[in-house]
Amino acid sequence: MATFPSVEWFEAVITVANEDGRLRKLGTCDAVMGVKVLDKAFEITFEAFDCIGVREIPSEKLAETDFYLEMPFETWQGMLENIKERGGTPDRQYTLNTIDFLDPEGFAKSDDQSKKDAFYRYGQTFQQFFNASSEIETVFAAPQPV
Amino acid sequence: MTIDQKTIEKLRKEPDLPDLDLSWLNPKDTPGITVKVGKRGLTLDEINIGVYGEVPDLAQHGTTRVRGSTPRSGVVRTAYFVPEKSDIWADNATLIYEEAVQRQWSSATDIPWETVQPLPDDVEEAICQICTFLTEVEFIAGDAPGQWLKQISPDHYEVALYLVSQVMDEARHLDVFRKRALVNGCGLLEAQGATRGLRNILDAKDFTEMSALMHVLAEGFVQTMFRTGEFIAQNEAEKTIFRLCAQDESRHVGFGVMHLRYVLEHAPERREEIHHYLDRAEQLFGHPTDGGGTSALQEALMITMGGGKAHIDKGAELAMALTKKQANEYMHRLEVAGLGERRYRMNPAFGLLLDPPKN
Repeated sequence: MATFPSVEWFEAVITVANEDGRLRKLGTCDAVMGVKVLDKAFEITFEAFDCIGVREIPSEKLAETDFYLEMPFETWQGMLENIKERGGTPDRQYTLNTIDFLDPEGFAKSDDQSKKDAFYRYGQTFQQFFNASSEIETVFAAPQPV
Repeated sequence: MTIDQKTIEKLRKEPDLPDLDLSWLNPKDTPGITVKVGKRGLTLDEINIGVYGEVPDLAQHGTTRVRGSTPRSGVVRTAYFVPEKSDIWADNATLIYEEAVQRQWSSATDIPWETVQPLPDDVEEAICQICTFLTEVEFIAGDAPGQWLKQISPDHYEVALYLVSQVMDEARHLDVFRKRALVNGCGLLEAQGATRGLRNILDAKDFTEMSALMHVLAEGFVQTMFRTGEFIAQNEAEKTIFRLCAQDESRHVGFGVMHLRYVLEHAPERREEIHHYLDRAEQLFGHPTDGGGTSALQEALMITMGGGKAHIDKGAELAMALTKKQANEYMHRLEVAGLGERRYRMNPAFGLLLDPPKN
């Protein structure tokens, strides 16, 4: 059981995503993805065929990622719970594409559109990554704003 | 006819070995090379080292001689290539090509076709109209880069490989949309004909013109549309189609943006010329007055995104959000390429949809 958001939670997802070749099957992916949940920020690195690591970073470092995903904690929770309930195939309103399209500011953020396009170039890989969270037990704990 | 004894004896003998040249065994100009296989396998970037990785700014021969090989005299010419590297180059060509090869998929086996079930007539017909349009569009998206293949020098082979990968991507898009139109009882609907904007891409006389119009403008718009596929899609098969096509399209956009950036950095005198191409393309591409006939597509999008004719208002709202996103992402990509001033001369049909600049 791992708490979202935390390095431990992402590490558990990485283990599941890497273990049976589901990311490898989708082809190479070279991108550094940021995730921002309230005041916590994480950097998740994809290299070649695997997700190779996660670390917590200061929020201001998110600008150094290719893009970062940011939405309210409740929406993160809704998305991950839906993925869990549906066994790894989320309903339409909870896919990364839909969340990104419906957010006027965009769910995937970057000042550089060509870096942000990595989110779309490897979209299936990132969707599979979050879908892998259906195979772990998640506890949600909203980080308290500082 | 009889053969005399002398000839028979001659034929029975082993032929004399010809005088061997073997000079090719002692290459003077081509050094040996050792490479290491990387995490992604043996990629082009791994072998593009030393003289093999030196891409000339000018391709000065019209033969099939591949970069890094030893020249030989007396070789026939095979083509007139685009000589200037800056006219065709993008620094991410090898990356995008390798990625395209790695991330291929099959419309026959990677789409869960069994999830396509009978739909209300208006929705099925709208989906089929969208697929009819996209099947036509993908023809052009394959033909346009295909026209340029024979003009890419072996010295700039990375660009040729990328273009071939794009043609393959577009072939798959063409076939997957055709399959979807035919799989569920409706079939292909009204042919839209190449709109004036699409015809303009085929007519491009310059590689950068073609790339800016097709990769940055047209495919950028299509990529945004594919990403909204979750709203167009009625089942897992269609969602998968749009997601996979969006990935492919993003590579093409990525090449186009990096090519435009390369041109502006290495041939800055072309800036105004590129604006001229975009001025004309923006007038033609997707403009409300374009008589080429994209209205059926717009209506079909509104029906599918709304969830049926009865909810066309909701669909119109989503379609408008899509158009706004298309215009803004187009502008952001131009900024990345180094053409930020485009904001102030963009066709008002798109310009009015732009969010204020961030800085």
